[in-house]
Amino acid sequence: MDICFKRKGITVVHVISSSKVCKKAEEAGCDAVVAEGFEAGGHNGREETTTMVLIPAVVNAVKIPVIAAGGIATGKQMLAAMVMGLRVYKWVAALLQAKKPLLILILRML
Amino acid sequence: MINSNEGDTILTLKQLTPVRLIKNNFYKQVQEAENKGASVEELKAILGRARAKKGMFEGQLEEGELEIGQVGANVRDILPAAKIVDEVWQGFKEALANPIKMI
Repeated sequence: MDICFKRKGITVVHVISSSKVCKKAEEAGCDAVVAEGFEAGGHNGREETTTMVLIPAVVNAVKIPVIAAGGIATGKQMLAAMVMGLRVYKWVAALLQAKKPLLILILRML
Repeated sequence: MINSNEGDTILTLKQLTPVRLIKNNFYKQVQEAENKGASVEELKAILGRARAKKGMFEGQLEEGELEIGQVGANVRDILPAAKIVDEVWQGFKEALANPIKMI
């Protein structure tokens, strides 16, 4: 598979909700994935896998960086995600408290 | 959102693309239609176009789609982004230094 963005030197991070799709993203050449659990707002997986179950599975399934999302709004929750083997974090939920929505969008795209 | 509680968001529209949203009037319309056994086409008609934009960018809190996660129920204050990041980071450092408090 080929990702046209990659040919232009653009970093590609794919949001996924299962190990199966995560592997496909890695095979397709994605630089990282956002693994988003059942708790997360917005579009979500049909498997309804929670962050607590999804993250260890995804971390085992691929070698590219995994960004956790879904149910993470505090430092304690961030640490819990890190313990499950993560390297980066997505703070969308915490940032929803912000008065400046633009910041949320920028951070979501990171 | 700061007044929302546990159970106030739900994963819905599973016949289309599953989405977690906060329960508002739009959700009630979806729920009523689904309870009556609405078809995919009927649900698409209710959803219409740019429903999420209406909710999250145009401020139509009752008729728009508000994609909010479960953890929104834990959020109680509206704070500047810098303070949120600082609090998360401080909380993380404290938890890392003392992850389990034995009683």
